[in-house]
Amino acid sequence: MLVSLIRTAILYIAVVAGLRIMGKRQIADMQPNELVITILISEIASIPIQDVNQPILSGITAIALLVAMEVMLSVLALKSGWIRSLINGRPVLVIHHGKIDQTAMKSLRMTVDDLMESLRQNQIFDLEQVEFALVETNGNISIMLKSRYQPLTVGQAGIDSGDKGLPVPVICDGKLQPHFMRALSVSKHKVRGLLKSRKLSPNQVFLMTLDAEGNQTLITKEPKT
Amino acid sequence: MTRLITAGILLAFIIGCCAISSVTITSYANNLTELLDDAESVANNGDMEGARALAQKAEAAYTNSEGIMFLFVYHSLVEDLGEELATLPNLATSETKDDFLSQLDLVRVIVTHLRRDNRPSLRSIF
Repeated sequence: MLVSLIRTAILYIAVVAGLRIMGKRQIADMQPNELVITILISEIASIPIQDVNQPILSGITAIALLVAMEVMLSVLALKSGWIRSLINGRPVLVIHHGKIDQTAMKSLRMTVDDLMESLRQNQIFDLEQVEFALVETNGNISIMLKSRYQPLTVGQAGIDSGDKGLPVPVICDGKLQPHFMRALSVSKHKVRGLLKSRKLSPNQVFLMTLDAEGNQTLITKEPKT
Repeated sequence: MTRLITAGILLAFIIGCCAISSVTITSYANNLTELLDDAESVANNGDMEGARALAQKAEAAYTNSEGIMFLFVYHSLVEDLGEELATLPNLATSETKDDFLSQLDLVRVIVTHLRRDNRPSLRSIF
């Protein structure tokens, strides 16, 4: 029993480390090869967990090899467009200037129902509104509306709202966030100064965000009941 | 770049594991085969005491390398080898010479499996 638990813990660490090395991606955003590798890793890890007769090292080396190959393949794909298209494929236009490309849909084995469903998921209920639609390499569909159906932007309306930059959390749950403070070029001293002006200390703050212009949002911790 | 270096380290780790596993198992299998061959020829010459000593030596060699073998080989195969080897010294008497020799053959088959499973071949890969 204890052996099983220890083996499971070791393999858990190996799988998490492997996935971290491969990088962060949500399942929906994965390329087909990444999805296959992720499933394979979980399958391989499960075998030595279930079968204590199998040397754990065989599972770990198999996981390590898959991760190493995946990383090297992704670096190669980054350097070479040919390898990238070989592994991931290319985006395919299924609506071109408002006209459905039936040949492209056939080659993707995509039905009209699939296309309409994808459009509806993008809040488009009338095919007439679509100028271009592309099936991306991860299977998602990207849509460009005809100009008359595109929403008005602030730029088109001639309103200059000004870019405030990204508000970043400088204190989370009473703890200063040096990583975000560095990104905003704000010192701990300055943050403490801002809090002092409100007669607060960092451990009284639940969330504090700052942007490049110095705008701040501050939420204090609720008193303990 | 960091990921590529990590991938390189992982590959080095895998190659290291494979090399250690291959060298360890091959040297252990060779050592054991040598002892078994010697035990067979000594037994065929009628020296059952000598054969018993060699069988005990083979058992001791197994005990010494059992721990590291479990790292690389399917555990049941290592356990089978240990069980079969353990019976050898008791069979090394004049009355049970034939049993001793057939048991030697059985152990030799397990050692061959051990060696063959570790080496990439059509059989072990497919």
